[in-house]
Amino acid sequence: MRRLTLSQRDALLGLALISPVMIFVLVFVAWPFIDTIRTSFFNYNLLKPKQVGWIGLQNYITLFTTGNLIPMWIRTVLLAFSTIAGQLVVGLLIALMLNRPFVGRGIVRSSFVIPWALPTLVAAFAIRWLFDANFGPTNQVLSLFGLPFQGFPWLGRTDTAMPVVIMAHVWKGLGYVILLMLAGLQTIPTDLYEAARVDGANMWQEFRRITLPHLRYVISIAFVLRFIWTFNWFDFVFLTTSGGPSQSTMTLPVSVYITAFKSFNMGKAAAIATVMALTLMLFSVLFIRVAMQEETEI
Amino acid sequence: MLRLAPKRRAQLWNVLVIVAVVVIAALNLYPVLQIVLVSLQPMSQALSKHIRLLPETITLANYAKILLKSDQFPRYFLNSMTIGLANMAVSTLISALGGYALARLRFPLRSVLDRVILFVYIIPPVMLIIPIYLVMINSGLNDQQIGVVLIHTLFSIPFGTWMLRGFFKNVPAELEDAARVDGTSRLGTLFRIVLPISLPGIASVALFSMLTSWDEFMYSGILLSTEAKRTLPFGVYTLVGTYGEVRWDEMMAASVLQALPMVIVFLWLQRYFVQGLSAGAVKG
Repeated sequence: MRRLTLSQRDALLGLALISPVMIFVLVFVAWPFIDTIRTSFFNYNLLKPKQVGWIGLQNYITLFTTGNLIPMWIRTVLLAFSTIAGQLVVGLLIALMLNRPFVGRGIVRSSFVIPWALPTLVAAFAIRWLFDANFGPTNQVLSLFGLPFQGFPWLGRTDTAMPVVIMAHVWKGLGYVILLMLAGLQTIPTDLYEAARVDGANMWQEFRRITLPHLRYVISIAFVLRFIWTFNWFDFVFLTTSGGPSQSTMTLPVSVYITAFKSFNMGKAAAIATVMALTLMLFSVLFIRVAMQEETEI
Repeated sequence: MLRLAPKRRAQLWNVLVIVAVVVIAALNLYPVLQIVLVSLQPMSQALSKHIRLLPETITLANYAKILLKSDQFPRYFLNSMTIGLANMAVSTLISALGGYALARLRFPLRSVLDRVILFVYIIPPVMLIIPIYLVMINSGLNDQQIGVVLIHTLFSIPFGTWMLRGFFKNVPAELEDAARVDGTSRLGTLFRIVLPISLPGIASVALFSMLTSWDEFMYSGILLSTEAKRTLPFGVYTLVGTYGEVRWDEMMAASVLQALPMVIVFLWLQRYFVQGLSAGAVKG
């Protein structure tokens, strides 16, 4: 047998080493992805096994016309956008504050990591306790100031549930965004600020002309990754409100879960999931563009 | 208006910023403080309308209840450990091999595979559960812990591969070359030189995998139907909170016990987790 050259042996070894990853991706991501799209064209209810059959776009038509897909889609995008907007603004502000040296800075920074580090279940029940109508500290503190909030059901009203859920999302992921921003801030050369000061720039000008342009890349990464993450995040919404009251916090992932595992309507659930994937495809284009930009910078 | 010398003004500004950041930090930690306080009080006291800054009586009774009343919580704890460790072993090994290939070896389709791993971030997890659930039911893998382990590796491997790829790229190639001149094989250098140098990366990937299983609620809830096989998130959820009123005292004690290992690991490895979760966007 012909002996392989060194680079040929490296290529074979590379393929061998990467193949377990690829097998996992194919079996647990690529195949289910395609199969869910296929299922979305079927009438497929686990409780009615005899009626299973191809129905074309019927699931989508039902969802768009009689279902509440469009309000759910708007709600999910709104949740994701508001969460990211809140996290970016608050996160950047805190990161800027933490970027200057002071005694105990490490402890303060770590304290922001803790909510991010909590198990989702724990964070969700902390929020439910905090906003509990009868016993929650929020209402207790508010009535301490004489405000009429005794027994106010924050998570039980259609007008306050979503704002509380958004706030909870901002709080839960803030630590990650702060650390990301801090990492970005540390890459800015300090002599830029010194030069600006010599030229008489004020703090706003320094922020606008030096800090923000240097953080552009980190901010766009945080934006896209957090959008995808929040858009897909089932556990937190489900554990906090289960989509209620009267669907006012019903997001797309919670709806997929309830349609598939409470109503056992797999076809309809698959159609909702496919709409989710299509939405994220649009954002993935953005993601890849950012990733390629990094490649060219290096 | 008060006029201050520029130096004094800068000092005042500094103090104001520090006060502001400490106030925000306190607000941010308030929910966590509430969990701990409720877990340490008798239920009647935690639910009283009378407002106190600090609890009158402090007790570990809630912890005793959750740990000793039945073996449910300890069992969920052990189940989570088992699934977490299995996920850790599988994910770390596969990620290390894959990460090394992407970092060091030239092979066909490498740049495509680089992108595919990023693509995995985009697919909604709820989209994958439908076919996986149907197949696991048909193949008898539902209600088996091994099924849940396999699902959890799917969340850990992309993170791990991407993370270790970055770590391995930073290992000086000369170190490897020197060893290879001495006759060590490629795999030999991976295990004897690259892995030991990348220890923080390996630890991060291992513990991130562990915590993925520790925190994951949906898949383990759907796939494990037998009560005795449940993991912490779904187990505790059904234990204290599904029907009617939440038993807050036990819930918060369970929360502290469940959160503690995770918080410690996050505080320790925060830099690396951010790095891994940002797909290498920052260098930590």
